[in-house]
Amino acid sequence: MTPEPSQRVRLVPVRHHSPACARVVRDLIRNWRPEAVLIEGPADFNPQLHELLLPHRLPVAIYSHVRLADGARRGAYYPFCVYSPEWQAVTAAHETGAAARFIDLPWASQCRDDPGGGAAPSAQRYAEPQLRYSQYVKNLCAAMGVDDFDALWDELFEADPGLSADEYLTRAGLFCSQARALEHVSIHDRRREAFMARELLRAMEEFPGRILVVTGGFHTPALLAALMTPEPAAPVPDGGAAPEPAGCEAGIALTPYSYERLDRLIGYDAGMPNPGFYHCVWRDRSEDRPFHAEAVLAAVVAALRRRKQCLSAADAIACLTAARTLAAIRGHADVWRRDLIDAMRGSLIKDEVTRGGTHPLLDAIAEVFRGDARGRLAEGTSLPPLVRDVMNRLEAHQLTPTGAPCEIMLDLADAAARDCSRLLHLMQILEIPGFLKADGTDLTLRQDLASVWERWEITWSPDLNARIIEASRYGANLLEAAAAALAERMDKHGRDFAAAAAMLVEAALAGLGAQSGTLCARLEGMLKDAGDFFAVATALGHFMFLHSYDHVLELERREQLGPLLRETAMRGLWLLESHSSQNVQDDQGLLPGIQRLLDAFERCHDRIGLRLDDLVDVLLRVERDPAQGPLVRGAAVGVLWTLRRADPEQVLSDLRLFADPNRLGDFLSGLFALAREPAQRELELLRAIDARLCSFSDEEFLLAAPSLRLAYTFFTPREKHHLAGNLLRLSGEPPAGQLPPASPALMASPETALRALAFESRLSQTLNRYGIRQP
Amino acid sequence: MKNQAGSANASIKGMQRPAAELLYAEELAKLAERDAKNVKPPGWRLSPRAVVDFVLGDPAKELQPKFVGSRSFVECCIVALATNRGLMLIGEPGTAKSYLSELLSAAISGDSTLTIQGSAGTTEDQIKYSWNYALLLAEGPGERALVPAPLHRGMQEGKIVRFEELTRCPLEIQDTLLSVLSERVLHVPELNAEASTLYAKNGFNVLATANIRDRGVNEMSSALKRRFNFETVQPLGDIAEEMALVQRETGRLLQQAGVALTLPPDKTELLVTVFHELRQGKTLEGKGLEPLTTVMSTAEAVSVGFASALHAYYYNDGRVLASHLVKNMVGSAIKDSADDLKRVRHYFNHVAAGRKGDAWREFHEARRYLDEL
Repeated sequence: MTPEPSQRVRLVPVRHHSPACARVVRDLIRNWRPEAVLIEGPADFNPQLHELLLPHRLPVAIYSHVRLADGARRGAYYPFCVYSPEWQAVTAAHETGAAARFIDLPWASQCRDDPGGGAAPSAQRYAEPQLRYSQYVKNLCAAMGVDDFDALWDELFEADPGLSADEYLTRAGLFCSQARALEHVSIHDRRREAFMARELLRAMEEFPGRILVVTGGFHTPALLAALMTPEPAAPVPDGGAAPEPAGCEAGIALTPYSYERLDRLIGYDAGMPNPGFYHCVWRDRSEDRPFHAEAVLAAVVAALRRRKQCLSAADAIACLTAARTLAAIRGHADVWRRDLIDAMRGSLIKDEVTRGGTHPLLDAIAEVFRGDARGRLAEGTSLPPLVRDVMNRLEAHQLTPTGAPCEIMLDLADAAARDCSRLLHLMQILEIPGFLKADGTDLTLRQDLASVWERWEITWSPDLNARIIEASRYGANLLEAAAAALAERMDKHGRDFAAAAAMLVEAALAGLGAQSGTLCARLEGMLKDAGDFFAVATALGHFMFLHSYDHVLELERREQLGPLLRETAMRGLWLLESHSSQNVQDDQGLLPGIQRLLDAFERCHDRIGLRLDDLVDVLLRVERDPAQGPLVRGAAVGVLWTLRRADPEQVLSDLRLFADPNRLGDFLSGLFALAREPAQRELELLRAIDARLCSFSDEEFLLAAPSLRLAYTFFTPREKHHLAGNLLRLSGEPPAGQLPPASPALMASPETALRALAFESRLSQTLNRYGIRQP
Repeated sequence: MKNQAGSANASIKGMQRPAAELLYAEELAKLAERDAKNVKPPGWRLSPRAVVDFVLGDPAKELQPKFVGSRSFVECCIVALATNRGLMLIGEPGTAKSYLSELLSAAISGDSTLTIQGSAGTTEDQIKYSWNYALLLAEGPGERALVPAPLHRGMQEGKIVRFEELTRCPLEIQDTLLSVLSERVLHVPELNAEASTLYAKNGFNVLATANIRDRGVNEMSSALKRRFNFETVQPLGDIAEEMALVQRETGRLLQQAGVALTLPPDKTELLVTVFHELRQGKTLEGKGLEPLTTVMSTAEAVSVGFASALHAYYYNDGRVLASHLVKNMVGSAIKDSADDLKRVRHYFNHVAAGRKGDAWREFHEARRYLDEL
């Protein structure tokens, strides 16, 4: 007769990446000697579990990826660092000879049951969103006077060095069951828990002895309930036992990880922050030594001195004193995380620190608290998934570099060539040596898009493999890694919005449409600080191209660009309004930007929710704003005229305002650039300009001439000829019909004119058919 | 924020604004009694934990809520005062720095009146000590003729000395604090040998405040910076908290002014939302905005709310309209900057215009007052 379940099964609720939990788990396995240890981890990794025991340098992660029937790829990481309870469970089980087994529902099944569930392409499976965002935790934080879940967890479980395993289990059991009681448990979690419960029951049949179960604290109450009533009244479909459905390709493997990635995640995927700090805690306490925060402080001081920040011993003393006093007030036996951070912030920073703001010192603290550990897989582990992914793709397109350098030409009108080009762009983004774009159409300039082509040089490089393995820190499949690398590069670019926007074009070239959501979000964040109209207008051009006009790139999820495009246009509008340069040379550059704003509002307004009235309102103000130069005001009234929001009288009255020979040409430049068609049709305008010019004295005319000439360069020779004809007709000098002949270059034979007419009528029919522009 | 009913203490009747230690005398006495056995830093009346409880308030312990902020921040401030450095509270105007400093010194020393008000005209006399010239001439320099200023008294009695708006003083005046803060000694060279050095008693420290974004502010020497721990008082991050605070404070001000009116909650919500968004440079939906150069503090929101309610009470039969808010806001937000006017107009046209609800619609319609400027 086997003992009662309650005596031979022990459930240990843990928080992933918690050193306190890791100690409890390790000690329980060593002292209680279970026969089997069941761990929350992907069950489909069990056949490869021995690979975890190879001498890796931590942190490493299990990466599980799946390609769903609809072609979407989703991946998930299960990261392990030395102080992860899961890691300690695996190694301690190995040490004591217990069987270790992962019991969580495989990622592929989770995705299949929950199609389209996560918006993020990848997930960190050891985050605790259920606890982090639970109402219970919020209430408890308020009651205990701490700021967030991490600080609360520190208070309850981490900081106390004398916390015994029994005390931990009582406290954590209470904490988790109460947190769960207040929360809605998603169907997704229920499925996973049903799977875990079944695995547990199966293990109880297989192993007659003791069983230790290590799972996230949120799930423990469910397992306990399942243990008490092994036959659930209403079984929840778990789907785990079914074989992988057809059309679904999945894989699982180890991959290197880093503390940087562990710490970088924020929001729903956030795990436990500050891995570097907890690493130190684990290092000391796992060997029953007291934890000394002095070492961490010393590391911060060293990091600051490396950054050439002078920091005296007196500062360090003041800081440590403050930290110890804080620890005493807060009832911590050892100086703890928040104590150190607060003390350093108070005693070392002599500036204002805004909420969420940055400061070089805070960066140094964050660097030390993050730690710089980077994982490396031991010899004999199967290759990281990224290497296989890259090699397979290169092979499929016959682009694998060989000994001899080769050169390929791609015409992107061809679908197969586009696929090749995307792959090559991906390699270039990841900076994998040997793939160089030597020449081709520049889609950020978009000068001649009649044919879009590229020439690539492919050479073999000795460190090809090494660089791909290195790049696997960005992600375990090529698309994800390239998107992450691009996002990192965007961050480095900081404030150059136009350059960052060009990277989105690069992403589109690489076929990263589905991954562009994070890039768009970053760009939206940068937009707030973009203060340069030219940069924003350039970026607007890129986004318009990607959103509306592209036929080569076939960007996926193009609709993601909508909000970004809208915000960029609005930002551009605001910058135009607050622009107040009187320098005409600078203002010249504004004209293409204003043109682009007009395009965006006119052509995309209904699709992305821009209101044409916003543009009109702003331009009405710009047109009247005495702080704006004549060029910009001319352009503003030009746009309004084009949009039929200003009548010719308005234009004429503005013209009178700028009749001064110093400003006339600039005003007309702006007007002609933005209102090219109405300006040619309106004879009154011509007459008014003529009258103005005739009233100039010779000196005045000479003064006005250069800018006037510039203004008229916006017209083609034929248009100029037409204008001249109109002018002569107005002044009535040579009788009508006796215009001087146009230059031979402007003459067209009747046949050409007929062909042109036929073409124009076809064109306007087509335009009408698609409702693009009413004649 | 402060006691409305007035305490049992008869001495504060008729005072326009009693000091915190008078206003909360009962709370302080109760806390001291409960706190008798706890370890206190030398010279302190309360233990650090009791000080936190007093400053933040705790209805469960019959302590009124006072300063609104996170517990860990208040802990940091208290710890700084317990060490051998001074505490410098910095932050934008209107973030209740002075109020926090008053509460801290009332709790720690039982006296918040040892206050030096920094200004361009502050002299060393007003900080350290000066002389009673009649006695000086009659008896020569002696302790009887010396008139101690707050710093002298704080050192002698072992109390917290508050230095308001430290950076408004010229640099050389600020630096008179240097030796006091590091050596904890004040020299009075005019007096005889023994009396010429005043050693600070336990419990003495300096609690300074300074504005960052105001005009007319001087630099601070790095020597002086080293002798202070800096803590930034943040504007309220939680909009719900800010609404409650604005509602409470305008209510209190209106009551004090004898006006039987409260700001309608939807108007408070509107007011606080507008201030919050313009201050953060970000809408609640996360869209970026151009932050104003003017400080949009909670205190400013309270005064706009108060003024609007007064306006409504006297000239509009007590109905507070969004246009009242706009008019008063324009006075506070766009005092002297044409750029800020553009930014506020942008806000009206692109943020307020898209909001639903009667209050927002009314607010948006009131944008014409912007053009009257």
